[in-house]
Amino acid sequence: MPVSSDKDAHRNHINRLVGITLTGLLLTSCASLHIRDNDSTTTKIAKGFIRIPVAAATLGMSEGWHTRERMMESWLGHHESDLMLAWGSPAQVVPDGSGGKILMYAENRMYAAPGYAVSDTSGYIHGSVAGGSLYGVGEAETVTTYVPPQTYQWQVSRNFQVNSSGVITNYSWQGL
Amino acid sequence: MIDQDLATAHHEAGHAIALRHFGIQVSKVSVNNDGTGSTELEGSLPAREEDTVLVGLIGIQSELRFLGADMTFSDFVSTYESGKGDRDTIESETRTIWLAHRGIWHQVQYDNTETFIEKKKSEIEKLASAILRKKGYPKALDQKEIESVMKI
Repeated sequence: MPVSSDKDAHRNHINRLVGITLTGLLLTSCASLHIRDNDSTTTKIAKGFIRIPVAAATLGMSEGWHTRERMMESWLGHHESDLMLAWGSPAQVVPDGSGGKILMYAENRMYAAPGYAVSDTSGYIHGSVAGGSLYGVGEAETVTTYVPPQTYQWQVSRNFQVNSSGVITNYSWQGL
Repeated sequence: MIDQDLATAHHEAGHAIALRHFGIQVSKVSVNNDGTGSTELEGSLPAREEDTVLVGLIGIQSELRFLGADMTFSDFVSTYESGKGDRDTIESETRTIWLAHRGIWHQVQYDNTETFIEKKKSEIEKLASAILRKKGYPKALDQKEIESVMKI
């Protein structure tokens, strides 16, 4: 039985991904993003990729949500000492009622959105021709509105359930 | 949730600012109430392949830059490799990141995008801020509104 090289496997994988992307493109009507036969592989992928934000509607949670979920999941089966080595001491440790405990990490986060100005210009112009000359009069007005900075705050929590042997068996989290 | 909105607003603002930088009109940016968003463009993608890649990478890299307190680029990559985040848009975009990480697009693309974000930081933040101020969902800015915000 022939064995494919890693390079072949990698290329096949990429081709499959491009195939999936092409399928997605068939659903679109945006001519500028159509993949051509003579496009390079990277261009094909890029076009498929960039098509995504162009779509009017998307599904599912954000990348951030999935990534954090995956990050939490990756701790399952690890010993609590590994977690503490990476994250430090939890803010709180409470018994879980079944011989184990819950390690609780919490943090308040804040983001200050900058202020900005919005400029809106409106105007008119009237013109006329008389005696071979062009007469015109116009007026324009620009209204600038300043939107002040705003601060957003939210709480982030990451909780791990640890069994009596010190192994992480469950988790919950909230906040990006 | 405000944290989700913040992440998505910076993600989409990154796409939009990059597109505008390459002379491409952005007709709409929006943030939905489920953490997803979209950036709609008019015309063609940048002619240079590396510019198109930058337009793509900047979404996630902006999100990380402004709101990725406990995440890294590698976390996104491993999300793809684990098979998570496998729903339509998310997987497609993460897939591209994964390809970039695997060297099909060199590390230099990631670094270029970081440099671009640094240069355009205030513009990205300004546009994200304007998106966030919109009431209700989707929080969307049309082309005229984007121009109004960006021209000052």
